[in-house]
Amino acid sequence: MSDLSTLSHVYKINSDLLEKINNAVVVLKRAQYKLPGADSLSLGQVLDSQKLLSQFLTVVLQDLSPSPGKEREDFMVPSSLIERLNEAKKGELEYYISDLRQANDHLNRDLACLTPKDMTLLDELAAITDAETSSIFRKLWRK
Amino acid sequence: MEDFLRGLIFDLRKRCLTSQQVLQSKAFPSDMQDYVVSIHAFLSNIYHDIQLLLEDPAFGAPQLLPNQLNEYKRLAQIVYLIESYPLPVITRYNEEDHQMFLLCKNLATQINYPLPLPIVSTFSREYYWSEVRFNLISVPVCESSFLLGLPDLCHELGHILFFHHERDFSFEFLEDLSGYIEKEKREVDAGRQPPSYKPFYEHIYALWKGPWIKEFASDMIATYLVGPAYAWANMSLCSKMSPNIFSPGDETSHPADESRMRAIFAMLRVTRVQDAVEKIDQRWKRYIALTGNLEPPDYHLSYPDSLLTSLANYIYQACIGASLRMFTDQKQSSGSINIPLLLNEAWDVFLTSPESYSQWEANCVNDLRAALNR
Repeated sequence: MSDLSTLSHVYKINSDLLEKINNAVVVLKRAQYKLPGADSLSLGQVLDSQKLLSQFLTVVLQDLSPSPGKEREDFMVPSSLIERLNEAKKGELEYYISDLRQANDHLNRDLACLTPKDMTLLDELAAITDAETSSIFRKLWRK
Repeated sequence: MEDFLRGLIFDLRKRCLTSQQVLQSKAFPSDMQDYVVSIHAFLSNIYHDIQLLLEDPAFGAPQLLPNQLNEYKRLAQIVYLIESYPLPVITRYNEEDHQMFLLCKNLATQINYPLPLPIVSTFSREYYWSEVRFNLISVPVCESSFLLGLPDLCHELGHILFFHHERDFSFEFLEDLSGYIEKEKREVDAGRQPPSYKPFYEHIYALWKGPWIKEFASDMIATYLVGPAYAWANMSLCSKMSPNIFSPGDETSHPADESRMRAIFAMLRVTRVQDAVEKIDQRWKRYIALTGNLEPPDYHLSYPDSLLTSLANYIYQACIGASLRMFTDQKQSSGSINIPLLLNEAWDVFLTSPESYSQWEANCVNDLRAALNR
C-alpha cells in the first residue's frame, strides 16, 4: 500500500543490473588492459561478459528507439533507466545511439575490437545505472 | 582516492560483521529462526563480495577505480538496508508481531502460498508495506485487533509473489502494453493526436512497465485471494487517504486510485462474481460523486480498460499456474477459521449492520486469536 513495496522491488532490479554490468565491465577492462588478475580470467568469463553487455546494449538500443519493440526474454532493463538516459542524452540522442550500436558491434566481434571510446561508453552506462540505483536507495532509506 | 576507498570498504566490512554478530548474539523465537538464518546468509554473501573487492590484485588501478567505487556503493547500500529493515524487526520482535505472524501463517496455508513465509512486523508508520527482497511485511501496530484492513496483507503477499515470479505474471502482458503504446503513437503519426502526445505515451509506457504493473498486479492477486473484501478494503483506504482518486500524489510509485479500483473490478469479473462488482461499483460511483474529483482530460489514455482487462486475465492465469487458492474455492473447516471467508463476512456485516459491527468484530478477533494460538 505504501510506495515502499514497489520501491524495494524497483531498487532490487536496478541494483542487480548494476552488479551485472559493472562486473562485466571490470572483466573486459582487466583482460584488455592486462591488469593484475587478468591471467586468472578464463576465455569463458571474457566471452560471457561480452555477451551480457551486448544483450544489455541491444535492449537499451531497442528501448531508446522511437518505438518500443517486443519484450525480450533474456534481459530486463528498467524503463526508469531508459528515461534517465533519454534525459541525459537529450539533443545528441542520434549520435549516442550510433555510438552504442558501434560498441555493440565491437562486443559481438572480439575483445580486441573494443576501443577506449567503447569502454568510456560502457563506464558511462554503469554510472547512469548507479545513479538510478542510488536515487531509489535514497527514497527507500529515508522512509 | 584509492586509500580513501580502501578505508571505506574496511569500515563497511566491520558494519557487516557487527550485523552478523547481532544476529548470533541471542536466541530468537521459533517464528524467526529460519528468517534470521536467511538474513545471516545474506550478510555472509555481502561479506564475501567485500572480501573479493579488498583482495582484488588490481584494487585501485585507475582504469577500475570507478567500477570499484560502484561496487562499494552497491554493497554499502545493501548493508544499510539490512540495518534499516530486517535487523530492527528481528531485534525488537514482540508479541504483537508474533500474533500477526501466526495470522499470516494461517492465511498462507489457506491460500496455498508457495513461498517461504514472510516475517510480519507491527511498527509501520506508513500503513501496509513490504520489503520484498528481505521477505518482510510491516503493518500498523493495532492491525491484529481489526479485520477490515486485513485484505491488504494479501496485497503485500502479492508484491512478494510478483517479485519472485515477475516474468510469469507480466511477460505476455508487456507485449499487449507495447502494442497499445505503438497503436496510440501511430495515431500521433497520422495526425489524429497532437505531436506532444508522443513523449506522453513514452512516459506512460515507462510508468506501466515500472511501478504501475507492480501495484496493479498486487491488487489483482489480492482480489484473486480474498475477492470482494479486497475491493471494499481498497474503497475504505481511498476514503481515508486518497487526495484525488484520479491523480496519484506521485505517479512514479502508484497509479491513480480510480484505475486501481477498475483493476480490482477487472479481476472480480475474471473470477466471475459479477454481482459483487455491481454492488461495489454502485457505492464506488456514489463515493466518486461525493469527492467531487473530476476526471482530467485524456485520463483514460493512461489507464485504458483494455489494458486492465488484459492484465487481469494474465494475472488470473499466473495465479492458477502458481496453484494459489482462489477465494471462491475457500471452505470453512471445523477447528479452524478460514481467513478469506472471515474477511468477506466482516465486510458483509459492516455493510449491513454498521452499528453492531464493532462488537461483532471484537468477538471474531478474540475467536481468531484463540484459534491461531491453539
